[in-house]
Amino acid sequence: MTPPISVEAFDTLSAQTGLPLSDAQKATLLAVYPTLQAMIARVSAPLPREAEPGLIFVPEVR
Amino acid sequence: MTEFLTIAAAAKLIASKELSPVELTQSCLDRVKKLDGTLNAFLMLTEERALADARAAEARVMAGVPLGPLDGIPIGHKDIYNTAGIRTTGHSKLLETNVPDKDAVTVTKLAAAGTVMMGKLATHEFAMGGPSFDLPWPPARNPWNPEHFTAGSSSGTGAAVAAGLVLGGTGSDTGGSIRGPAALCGIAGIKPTYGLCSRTGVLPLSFTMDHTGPMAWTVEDCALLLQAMAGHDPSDPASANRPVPDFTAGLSKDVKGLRIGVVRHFFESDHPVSPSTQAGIEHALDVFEHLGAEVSDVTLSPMADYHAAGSIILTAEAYAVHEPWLKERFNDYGELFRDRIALGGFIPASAYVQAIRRRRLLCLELTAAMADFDILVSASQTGEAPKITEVPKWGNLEKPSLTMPFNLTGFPAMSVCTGFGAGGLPICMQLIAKPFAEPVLFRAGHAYEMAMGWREKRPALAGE
Repeated sequence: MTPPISVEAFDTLSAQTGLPLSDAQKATLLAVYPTLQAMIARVSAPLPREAEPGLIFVPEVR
Repeated sequence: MTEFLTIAAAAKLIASKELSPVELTQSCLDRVKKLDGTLNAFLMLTEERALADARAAEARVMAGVPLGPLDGIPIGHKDIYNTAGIRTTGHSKLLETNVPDKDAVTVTKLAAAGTVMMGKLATHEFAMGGPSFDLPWPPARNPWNPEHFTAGSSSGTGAAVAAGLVLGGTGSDTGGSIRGPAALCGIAGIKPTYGLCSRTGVLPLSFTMDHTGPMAWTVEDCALLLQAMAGHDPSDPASANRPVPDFTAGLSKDVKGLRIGVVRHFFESDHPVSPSTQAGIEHALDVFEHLGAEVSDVTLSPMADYHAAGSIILTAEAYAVHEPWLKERFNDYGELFRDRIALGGFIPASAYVQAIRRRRLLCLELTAAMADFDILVSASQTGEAPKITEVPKWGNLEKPSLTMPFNLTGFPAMSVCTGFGAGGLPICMQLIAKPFAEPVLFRAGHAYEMAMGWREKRPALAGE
């Protein structure tokens, strides 16, 4: 279980986004942040090193 | 007004010159004027364009050179599809005066097939934020009960088709935005395989999850519309360069021997559905078995795994698309879209990368699981439409989405109405096929519709 984030730490993350968030908007996002954290934890469960994303760069030739 | 017609039925009448495209279009226009004050399905009615298109179709029919089954058929476009010279807003204040100079590729294709453009249809803001009450236009309402939600984001198309304002329309589906409104409005809607339909000229939400596709009253009508929409588009980097099959050719075949896998844990334990929805799916499975299909269960990873990867990718990509506007015009967005997308600014790069690595594994899992099946069956929505004022703001995140797994993996998936729930509103199931196997999806959905009588019943409001 991911520990809950503090208001101060969330303020720092908010500032890093560069978005003009009001205090009320920050509070709204802080309330749902644990749901996001849980999803991040779920996708971050160990994967085999060779598990490659389904994105392959192919240079375009014209 | 003419009676309610499917595209297939109208096409036959038009071809035999028993129905005039102008008469059909005028009937739809009359219905829009009568009902759309309640439904808010249209953001813009293009009456003159519709009548001009209809007259052109009629001239072709009378000259003996019709363009095909869509010639003279009135449709609407979700207002994230660019339409040359016609306002395209994304249902947002940010694009309130935006007039594109080119059609989206799929709009061009549908016009080339002879469709009549009735206008631009409501959407959730930029195909994600809704239902919202703080935008320049109100949200669409469900024709089965206007106090209830249409689902979204192709909300206007769902409402307009169900009420007979149009015979079909375009939608887009990034996390379920075709299948959701199709389900709650009691119509059919298909999210085709990723890459089958061009996205060029459609306002992007999430580059690797966005799909365009049709919505209509019946599965057969969806097949007819998809026939016109599908095909390689070199201007879309995700477009698949492969032949387009005949989507209606297999509709007359039965489903005997069709192998159906039921992803039971998705709708029984991962995100339990209502008793009515569950009963509708069970009855549909009985119908398929009675028709000769072989039905057995299949197990995938928990739906939350698909949902987490899909939600992270969608939110991060949508944030990237909207970041410049979010920084400059944050408060011009409606609250729902703004807050949902702002969350993307809090997703670390590593989480996005892990999500797309996870997607790869889930694609492989689904491919392997489908090796022994022709289609899968699951739920598309958890139940009947809730009241429009009772839709939770974070409902998109709080519980795993029944539709997201097939956006994440790109597999084609379709909502099909399975009747009506305890509250009298539509319920549905979701059918899923292998990539580019839309014909089998249509075959199964059509066989089910033919076996049942749900397509005979229209919303009472539309019949008034």
